[in-house]
Amino acid sequence: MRVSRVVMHRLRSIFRQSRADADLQSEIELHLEQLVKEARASGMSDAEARGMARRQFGAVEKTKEECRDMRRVNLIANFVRDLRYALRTIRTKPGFSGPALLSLALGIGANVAIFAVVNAVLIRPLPYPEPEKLVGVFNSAVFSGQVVKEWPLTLDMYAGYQEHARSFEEFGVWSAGAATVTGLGDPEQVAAVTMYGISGIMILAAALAASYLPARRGASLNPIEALRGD
Amino acid sequence: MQGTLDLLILKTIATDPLHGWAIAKRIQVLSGDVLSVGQGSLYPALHRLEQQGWLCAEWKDSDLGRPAKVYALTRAGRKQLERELDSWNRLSSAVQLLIETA
Repeated sequence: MRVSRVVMHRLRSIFRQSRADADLQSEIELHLEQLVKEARASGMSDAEARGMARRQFGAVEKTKEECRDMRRVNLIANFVRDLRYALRTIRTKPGFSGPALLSLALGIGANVAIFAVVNAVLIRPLPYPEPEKLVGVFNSAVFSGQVVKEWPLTLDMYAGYQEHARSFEEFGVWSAGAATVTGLGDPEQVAAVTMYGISGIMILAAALAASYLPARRGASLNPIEALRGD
Repeated sequence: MQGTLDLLILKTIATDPLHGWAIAKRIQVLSGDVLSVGQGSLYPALHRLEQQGWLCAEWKDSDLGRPAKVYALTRAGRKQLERELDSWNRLSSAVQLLIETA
């Protein structure tokens, strides 16, 4: 109730500014008239009374301005003024604005960089035709009512899938693991994806390898290792 | 003191709605001519209180011979008046205490 009234009032102040201004004008005029009447009643002439009222009221325009400020109708004018002030401050206080701008730039830059990675890895479709046709197939087995998920794949099962499955055009195999990279520096263990399969899957392998940069050097295409993988 | 002006305005229109002129007059009369609220602070204060949702204003025919903007307390305004009275009582009794004991 209260919030809605305040919101309505503020919207009116902004969008019906001329109306609000006219209201303010007649409100203050009425007050001035009363002051004039009072002065006349104490025996002053018209002109004297008018002058007296003006003096008593004080700065009419300033009062109106303050009323408008209270109603926030100077929103846009104030915004422009604040903007100018901000620009002036940036120019006159490089010691403050320099680091501020720098941290803004770094923040925006970091965001852009992170988004570029997220976009490439998660949002953009995979870089080969008909990516929606690529699915992961997992074994599960049932033992006395208990379902065991991700049952390991054996060589026989893989051969069986290759020969008999009709729902898929082709099959490939992958296994996630780790690999050790040795070279000039200290040996390092990296996450690795070992895979064996078909053309489409090979392209996926390239894409995955590109997105898991540390794993790229560990990627191997040894079929035996892939089939043995659990 | 801005807080005090708010309290005076809220209290003055607590019983019945008034227009700006009458609020100024009543504050002056009820305080035995001790307090006089300048128009330059009265009207901005009224608009601020209205903005905050403590007063609602309406143009009504008035005793002045033409329509005037009449201010009334809202329910939130009534609560605010209670809060202002509370803090005023605390302040004045603290000052009183200090004057008597110091």
